[in-house]
Amino acid sequence: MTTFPGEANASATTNQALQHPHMEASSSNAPAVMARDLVRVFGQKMAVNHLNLTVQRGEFYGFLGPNGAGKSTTIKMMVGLLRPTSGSVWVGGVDVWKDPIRAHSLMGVLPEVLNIYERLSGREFLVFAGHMYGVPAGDIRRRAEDLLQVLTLIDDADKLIVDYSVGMRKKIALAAALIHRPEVIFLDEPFEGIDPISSRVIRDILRELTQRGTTVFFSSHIMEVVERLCTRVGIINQGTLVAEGTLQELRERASGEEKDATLEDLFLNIVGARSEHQNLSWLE
Amino acid sequence: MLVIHPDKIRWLFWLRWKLFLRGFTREKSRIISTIFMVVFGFPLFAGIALVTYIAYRFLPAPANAEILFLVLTVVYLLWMALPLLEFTVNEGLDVSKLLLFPLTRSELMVSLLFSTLLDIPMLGLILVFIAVVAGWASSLPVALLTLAAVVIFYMQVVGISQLVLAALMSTLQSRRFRDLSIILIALFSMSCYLIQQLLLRGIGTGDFVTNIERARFSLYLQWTPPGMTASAIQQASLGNWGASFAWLGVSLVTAALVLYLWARVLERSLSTPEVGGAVRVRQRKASRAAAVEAAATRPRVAGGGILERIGLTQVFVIAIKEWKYFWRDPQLKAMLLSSLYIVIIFLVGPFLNPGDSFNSLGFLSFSAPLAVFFSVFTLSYNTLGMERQSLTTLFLFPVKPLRILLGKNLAVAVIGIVELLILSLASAALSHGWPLVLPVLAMGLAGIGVVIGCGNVSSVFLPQRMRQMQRGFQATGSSSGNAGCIRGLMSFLMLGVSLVVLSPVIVALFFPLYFHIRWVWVFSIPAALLYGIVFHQLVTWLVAPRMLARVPEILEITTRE
Repeated sequence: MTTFPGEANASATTNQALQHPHMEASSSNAPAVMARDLVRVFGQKMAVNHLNLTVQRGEFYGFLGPNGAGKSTTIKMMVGLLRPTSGSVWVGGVDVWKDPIRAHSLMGVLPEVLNIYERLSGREFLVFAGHMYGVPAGDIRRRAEDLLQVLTLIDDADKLIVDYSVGMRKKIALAAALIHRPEVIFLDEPFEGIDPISSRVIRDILRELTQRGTTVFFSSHIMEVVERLCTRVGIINQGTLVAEGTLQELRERASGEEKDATLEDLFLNIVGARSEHQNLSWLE
Repeated sequence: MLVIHPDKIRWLFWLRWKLFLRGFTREKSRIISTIFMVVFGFPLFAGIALVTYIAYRFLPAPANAEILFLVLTVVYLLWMALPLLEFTVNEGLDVSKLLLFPLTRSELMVSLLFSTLLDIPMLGLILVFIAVVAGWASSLPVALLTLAAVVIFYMQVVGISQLVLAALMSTLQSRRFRDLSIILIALFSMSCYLIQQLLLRGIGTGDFVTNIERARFSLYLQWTPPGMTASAIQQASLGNWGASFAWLGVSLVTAALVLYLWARVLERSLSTPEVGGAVRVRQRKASRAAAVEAAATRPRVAGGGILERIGLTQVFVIAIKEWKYFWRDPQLKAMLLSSLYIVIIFLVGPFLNPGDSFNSLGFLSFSAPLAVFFSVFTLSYNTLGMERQSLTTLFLFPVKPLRILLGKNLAVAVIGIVELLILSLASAALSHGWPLVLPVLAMGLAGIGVVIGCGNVSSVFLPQRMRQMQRGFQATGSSSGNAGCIRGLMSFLMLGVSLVVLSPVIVALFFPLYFHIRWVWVFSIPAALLYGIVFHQLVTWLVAPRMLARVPEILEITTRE
């Protein structure tokens, strides 16, 4: 078992873990994320329509869909921020809506709209998040410094977050989502507004995390990134999960000439998008 | 070269008009604030216009001219300062949004001049100007000259406000200025009572008119732009047409200079490229490995002291976060200042009204706990809404709701206790009521417990959206909540409920005092303290699980923008 430098030995930690309020590990055999018959209705509109979805541990799951398809609504219901009209969600075998505190201790979330504490400095926010997740005080500082280093925020760590750029905010929010070593990370459009360097750093971190058994559930519009990172992909359109599988499986299900199609081609075909040729001759 | 396309000016005015109207259709609260402005602001400006008209007409010379100098100077200074404070709410004054289009500086200037006509305060200013023309129109030539002087002065006022805006554009868009202006506006709003009291005292002494008659502001003010306009009008009224035209000419030149400077600054802002920061490139593979390991290795390690084990660390960390926010967030700082203002008013009030019997023991007994009651209520009745968008983040943490409430309560309680201590001791020193300090402190503590307990109920069951505050007077209607009349009424109701719940504490203090049976305090004060503590604990303990169950509903109300 890998431990941190300076941490107590494994048996001691196990004993302590039993006493710690947030040490309850998830059921080891349960899927990382499971949604059953998830429905969300806004007025007349059914934003999510009886969605069933299972993500196994260690998977890098890409959740795709056009604008307004229901991606963010689904993620909000999965992380306990939006009550489903009906249906259930389990994270690490814990029912998110029946035991939200335990479920939250297993997950890290990077929402699409970052609602972080802007009037704390980056370092203060990480320390605050560490305490909120119940990480032992001794580990918080070290983990915060490590995360600040790796996400190239160390020089701006004492600046207030309100003065950060969009990319820096994403990175500090990601750092806060990682500080408690979550079993599942939910990322809603993590690469939106991020420069290529930061994007690369985040991608590498996420990939390494999945290699160590962490599950990543993320939504993105950037098909190249999804294609490169994800072990499995789910495509949602008008609130319904219309396709799911590895890229290879999606290709196999595709017909005829789309056998070698890129994820973007497959996605456009599945959601029924058509290239509309407008008459813009006046531009010539 | 003066290049102006009338069609562009028309469309720029259309844009300003649309933004003006859309401000009302998109934000219903603005309709209400505008109605309030019309109902209260219009009579205020009309009153000022009427009073100044009477002063111009009926005060003996040169007192009437001194008033003119003062009025024009105040207008000039106000119009220099107000656009700065309203910058974020008045899109029509933000030139940076028009820089993408091929507009000449003349077109921008003319459009901005027209834009000012759609500012509601400008209507009030026009009333003040009408009073000037009417007040000094002793004959047709004087009336015409006064009108010309006022029109030139209008150009100066608009020009200087736009010049200041253009020159300070980058500063205005900075976060620090935004923060500062929110606090300044709050301080200004709060100081109105004190200013009003001091003004009334100054006017009410009877020496006001005599002082004005003796005053010679014009000696200094005549060299300022508003003074030049006032001098032109004053000289015309005295029949010194040569001096009058000379001052009018100087005033016109000044207006042209201001407009020229504005054009130059505007041109500079049009041509100055934005300065971007360089991207730092760093490769820290070793650190990344450590961070990934930090994030990926399980099981997690428990540890820490007794505080961590019983969850008090989280309570203290939340309380510390609250204090940092009260200090760093201008919106919360404004709230904190307003709560402190209540305390200050209670302390300063008796000096402003020396006729009141502030020396009585009743003053001491009432003032300290009552001021703290209002102060703590302000900070606690919408404690979840005060988190604004960040509440989403707080609810994503696996923290027991009881700890969230206790952390927030601790932060407010400490502020309340500090206020209570200061106020009780200061009041005791003023009224020599030292024997009452301990009972009052005990009652104040009990009251804080009750009020915070009630605040937990209202925060969970009647949360209010607290919009991210912008600069400007239109955005300062409510710094603690912004959720419409019904919720406002409900929080008012909550204030009443808190007072009812507080009544046993009040009875425990005043009943023995009123009936001169102070020995009863030996029993009533500990009982009241116990009541306060038990009430807070019981209510918080009952409310906390409901908070967890209501997370989506609370978020829907408080985080919607």
